[in-house]
Amino acid sequence: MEIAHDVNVKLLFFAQSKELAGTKESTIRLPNKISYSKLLNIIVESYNLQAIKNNILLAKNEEVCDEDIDIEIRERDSIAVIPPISGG
Amino acid sequence: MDHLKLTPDKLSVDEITELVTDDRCGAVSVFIGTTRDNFEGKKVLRLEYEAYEPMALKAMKSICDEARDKWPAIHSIAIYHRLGMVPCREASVVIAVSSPHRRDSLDAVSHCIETLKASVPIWKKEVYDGDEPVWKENVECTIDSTPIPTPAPDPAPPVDKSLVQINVSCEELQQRIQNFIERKREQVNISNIHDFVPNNEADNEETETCARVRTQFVRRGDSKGHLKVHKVHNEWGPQTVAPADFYPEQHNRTGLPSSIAERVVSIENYLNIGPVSKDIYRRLKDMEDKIAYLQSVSPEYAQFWKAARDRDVKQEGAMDYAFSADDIARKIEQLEKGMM
Repeated sequence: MEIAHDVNVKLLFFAQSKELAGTKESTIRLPNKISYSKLLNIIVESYNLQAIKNNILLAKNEEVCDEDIDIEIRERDSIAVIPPISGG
Repeated sequence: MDHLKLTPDKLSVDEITELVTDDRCGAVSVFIGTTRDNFEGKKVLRLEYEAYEPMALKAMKSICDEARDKWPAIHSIAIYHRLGMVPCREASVVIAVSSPHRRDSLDAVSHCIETLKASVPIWKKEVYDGDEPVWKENVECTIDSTPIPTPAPDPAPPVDKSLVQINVSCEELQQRIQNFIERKREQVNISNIHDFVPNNEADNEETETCARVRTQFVRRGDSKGHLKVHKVHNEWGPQTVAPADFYPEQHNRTGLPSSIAERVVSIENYLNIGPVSKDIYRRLKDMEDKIAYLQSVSPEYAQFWKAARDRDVKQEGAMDYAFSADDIARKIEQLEKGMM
């Protein structure tokens, strides 16, 4: 069993998630390895995003995270909460 | 060349078109996305755009790469998206593609706007006159099913050709499975009937069941019946001695009086020689030879010969025998030969 080192990451919110979270940016402490669903739950719980939980994606360092692979997190990574997009 | 930009400034179609225009290109295709002033009967005052800028630029870059993969003739691509507040009638997005011939640029520009709406993290909020503002969602948005691509996303994984999709109700499906089972059972029954009931008798009254076995004799090789027969042919042994070999028949055949025949046989037995010849003279000669032989090999039993001579009625003249030195030497020689 690996020892989980907590790391600080930057959280970014956009559009609807920004309005629900009430902030554009935040910092959160996370273990350096975490499953997608766990991470999603933590963020949804901490930032009042239950209403759009099923419609958001998480992106780490501008890459959308794969839901089936554990996410490895390092210091100063940024994690973005991506609600359904509507560009154009 | 790719020109990608997210800007809060008003988009100038002329400037963007100028970016992609080239002497070698006969076509510049431009798409301009503008803002409507109404949505479902509500009056739209303005639109507000925001983007996750680094990620959006990456996604736009991958749209360009993908388009160049599909249409290698493309010369330049420009994708400009406006951010912040955009009043009605103004352009929110401008895409321009240049290529030597129009088909490539027309197809590519269409591809670019479709992919942009599906995969670039930009959000639009419609602000209405009187109603609450709403964050829009593009129908092309793939956010729920497939992740936002950095490399090119395939719209849907191709369905395995070996899989068949059946669109029916549960009962219908059960019924079909049941029918299939019954049909298979029927086929197995028929093949069983063919196997077990020979001579096409399957047509008679028993056709409803497969549980029957009608035996049939099948000849194997050159057999004459279905029973196996074992025979033993003795080459030798007690069973092979035919009764014809015994002497009573011999007497009859030789025509001797039974008293003489019996005595001859008893002498032959005593001397251990078989009745070989039918001719009585021949048999007597054999006996004499045997006695002479015995005398020669065992001279020390001479007195028995004399005693035996009284019994042996037939051999009176043959028995008085004196050995010469030569005879003895010859016998010794014979003995030595016999021993070797």
